[in-house]
Amino acid sequence: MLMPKKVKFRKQQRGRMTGLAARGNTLGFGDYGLQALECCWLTARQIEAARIAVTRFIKRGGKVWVTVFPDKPVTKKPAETRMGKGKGNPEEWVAVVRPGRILFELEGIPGDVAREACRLAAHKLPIAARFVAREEHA
Amino acid sequence: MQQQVELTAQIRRTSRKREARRLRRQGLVPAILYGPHTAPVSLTLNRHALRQALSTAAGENALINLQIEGDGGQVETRTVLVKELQVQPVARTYLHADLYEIRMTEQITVEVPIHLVGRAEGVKLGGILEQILRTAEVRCLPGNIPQHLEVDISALKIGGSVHVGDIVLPEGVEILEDLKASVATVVAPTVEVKPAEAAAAPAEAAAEPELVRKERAKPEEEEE
Repeated sequence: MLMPKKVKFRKQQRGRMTGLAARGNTLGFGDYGLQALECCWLTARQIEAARIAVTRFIKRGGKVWVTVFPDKPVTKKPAETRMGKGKGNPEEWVAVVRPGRILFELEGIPGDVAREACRLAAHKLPIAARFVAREEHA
Repeated sequence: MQQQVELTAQIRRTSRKREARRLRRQGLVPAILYGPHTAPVSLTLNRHALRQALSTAAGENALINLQIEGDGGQVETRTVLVKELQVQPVARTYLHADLYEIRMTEQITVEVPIHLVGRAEGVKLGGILEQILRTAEVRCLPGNIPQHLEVDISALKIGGSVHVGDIVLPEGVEILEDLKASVATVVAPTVEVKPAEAAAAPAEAAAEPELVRKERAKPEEEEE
């Protein structure tokens, strides 16, 4: 599962997810991609599930880039615990995704294969996402 | 010689984001015109007309014959290029345009898309074609801006690559990229990690990442 190798602090505050993706909103590596249309905390498990869905579908052809990284720790309190006694323990890692963010990029495969791979990957995500292609491949 | 497209603009006296948002709601795009010999002028463009102007074969490098309508009804014509476009990432509508005034006799620097031509030999053998450089910076007269640069990749084998130096340039066009930089390469297909190997990973994944700074030592228990 994706997570940072080193962190400065074990726990983070939750923060806000307002606005649109200011960066990472255009295709940088591949010809095709999957773009988020909503905001969410994308967990490492969801990213991995979507990546596996893409790689299984395209098999050996093509190249896949995962353009989001879960670098935000999310803490949880154990079940049946009274409130207080400090912040819970880090349980999972998430990537903060805002609308417009490119999540995956693909290259080296036909457009229809890329579209289907992205559709399968989108089903593994908690948000609406759309298939995008460079103008010459659109 | 590139064909010029027509576009009409109105001089904009207002500024601030509130005004810009009001214009966008009306289907207009705030823009600015500047250049090496031009004082900056704030303008308003029609969003639909701008999209039409940039949807020709020349793409974003289209030479635009900009007709600026002043307050008194006078019309001034300038030749411009779109220097920068701000696009809303979800709706893909134009938010703002930077127009750069050019002179047809002065050389300019523009980004031109690179198109790969042919089917690489390595791809036929199962390799994956990866395009590393998608645009190239070129210097030429505005009339000589190529629509795109073509690179023939049909002889490319697995592990081989095409470099900027291999691009055949049209007459009067100078490329500003590093000639040794790779444009495209054919790489061997990657092999997916087998489930058995992947299953070994969770034990490692469960561990927490290392802290850059060591945790503060817990304060000693207070004396009673």
